[in-house]
Amino acid sequence: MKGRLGRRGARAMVPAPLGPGDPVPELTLTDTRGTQVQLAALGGVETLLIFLRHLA
Amino acid sequence: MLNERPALDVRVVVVGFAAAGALGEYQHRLGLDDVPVLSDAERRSYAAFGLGRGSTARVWLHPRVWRRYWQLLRAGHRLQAAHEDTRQLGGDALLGPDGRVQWIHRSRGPEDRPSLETVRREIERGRAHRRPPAAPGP
Repeated sequence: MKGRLGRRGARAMVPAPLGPGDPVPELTLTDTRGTQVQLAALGGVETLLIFLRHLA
Repeated sequence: MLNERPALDVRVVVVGFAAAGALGEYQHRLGLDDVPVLSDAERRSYAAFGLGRGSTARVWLHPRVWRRYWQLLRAGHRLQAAHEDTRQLGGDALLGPDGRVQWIHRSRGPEDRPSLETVRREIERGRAHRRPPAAPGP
């Protein structure tokens, strides 16, 4: 994210979503063993991120 | 897509918004022990990648959704009650080795996922973009 605003502009102050060329965001997630994983640390290898919906 | 991951020749990482324990059961049930499965209960990564929530009509009533559920039932899948937000949509993103986002597919509905061929094409497109130009011949 580059601090851009979404289409609703300054009124809503919604950050624009990532797009191609943007750096992977600095976010911390948790793996299934409870270990914290930095999303940005996934860089360095071509990676396909699959975002799930609900599990059922 | 998860079943077809060996054909992609990239690392596959799964992100869900269920608790880590529930995702661990999911990982085991689907035989994904070789795939990192990450929990993002606050859905900050979903927001960052622009993965929104669908309307009730789009998520539950759209003909393409019913067609997809029908295909799953015919394939022997059993539908289970959902315990999480059913309107949260998913997506797929390719991250390049340079640590930058290469491509994003944001699902418009539950059934809207990219085909294997689409993902392969985007992987190849990224590799071609990074490949240095061939040296001129003699």
